[in-house]
Amino acid sequence: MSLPRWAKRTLVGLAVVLVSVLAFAVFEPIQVLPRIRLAPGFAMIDQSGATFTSEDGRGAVTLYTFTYGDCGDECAATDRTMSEIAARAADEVDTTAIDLRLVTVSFDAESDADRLEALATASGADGDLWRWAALAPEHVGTVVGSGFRVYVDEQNDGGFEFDQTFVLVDGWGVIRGEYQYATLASDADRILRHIGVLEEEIRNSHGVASFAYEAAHVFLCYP
Amino acid sequence: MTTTIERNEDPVRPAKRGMGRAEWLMIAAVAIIGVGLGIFLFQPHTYAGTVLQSPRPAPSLEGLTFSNGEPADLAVFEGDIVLMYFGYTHCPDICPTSMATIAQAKEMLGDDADRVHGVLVTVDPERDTAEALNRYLGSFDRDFLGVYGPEETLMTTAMLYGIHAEVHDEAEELGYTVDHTGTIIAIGPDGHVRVLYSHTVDAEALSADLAELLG
Repeated sequence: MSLPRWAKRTLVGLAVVLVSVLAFAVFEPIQVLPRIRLAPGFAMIDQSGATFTSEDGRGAVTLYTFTYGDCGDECAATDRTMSEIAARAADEVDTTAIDLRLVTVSFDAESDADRLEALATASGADGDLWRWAALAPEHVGTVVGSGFRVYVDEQNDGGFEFDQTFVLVDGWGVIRGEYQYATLASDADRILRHIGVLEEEIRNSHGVASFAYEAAHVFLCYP
Repeated sequence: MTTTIERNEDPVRPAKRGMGRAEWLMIAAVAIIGVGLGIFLFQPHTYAGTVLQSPRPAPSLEGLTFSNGEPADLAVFEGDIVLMYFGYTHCPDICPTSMATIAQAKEMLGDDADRVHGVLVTVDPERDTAEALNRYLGSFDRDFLGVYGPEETLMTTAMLYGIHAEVHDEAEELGYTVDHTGTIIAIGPDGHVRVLYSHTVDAEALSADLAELLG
């Protein structure tokens, strides 16, 4: 028994729809960063002595990293990555679409609070795009440990054992990227690429296009 | 005697190879209509807030107390939706409007309204006792619950929900005020943070999202 022509055409049409949906899922024409979880709320003191809170990051895209002033060579790579991102951001990120900020968080306020400006200057943080801020010791466990989920443990010699991590947070206070492990791409390349993906979503995800971006989240179209 | 005409052996029309342009156009039209029908029938829901893919349960309320006197525990809401808001009863502006929005959105759900629970976690432990919270919340919805407890535990909990709160001591008619993040947090039936809303969210849009979350 053969199907009538209209039925065949309908089947082919539906197949085209199905293939289109599958192609969307497989080829990911739109990529997004996952909305992983809430970033913590906090208040810190920055290198200029001003209070810097999680509310100041509302509407901005913020890249956080965590360190302490006496970390030395062990943390030099993290500073270099932040420095490279700060230098390349002007050319590689559309700052008309997003307000990008970089924040190096010291979890050793006792030692670093009074020398934040010197530490920031030494690393190249200009206080505008990239700033250093210190978190009160009693909040390190909650904010860095439980909130950003970065392992930090104070050692008997006054140093810290911790996982060197970058965390990307969007303007809603939602964590969109976590970078703890090295890959073939440099951290700066990878993070800038992801900032670009986020910037595109923020710039384009309006009106009808927002359906496509939500579909990209549903189909886990992650870079 | 009968004559059998094999496929593509029409004595009038010559055989064609593959489908013609008109047929492809028709298939494209069918596909477009199919997509349109699919959208119409299945109504993909666009949330008014920011949807999260949180893989872990919402932060615990351990160490805090519900305004009904029970230990605060999100597990009692399992299978339902919690709309959590961090605010305080002396809040002059965004707290009452947010709680009113939550109450309206809940009411719009009709029979499903009792599956949505408004929870106000105080950021002003000094003034917000259980009685004060119950009195305040009762004016919005008699089922809303307050959460109170030791300041340190409240502030730690707030931080884990992405909330920053800060007391302002300036002399004002209401005494001091507390600046705080005004996010409405929707915790899904599975106990995970699912959607974040601005305090300016429209009650109707919020209600539509709640209906979607309830399935």
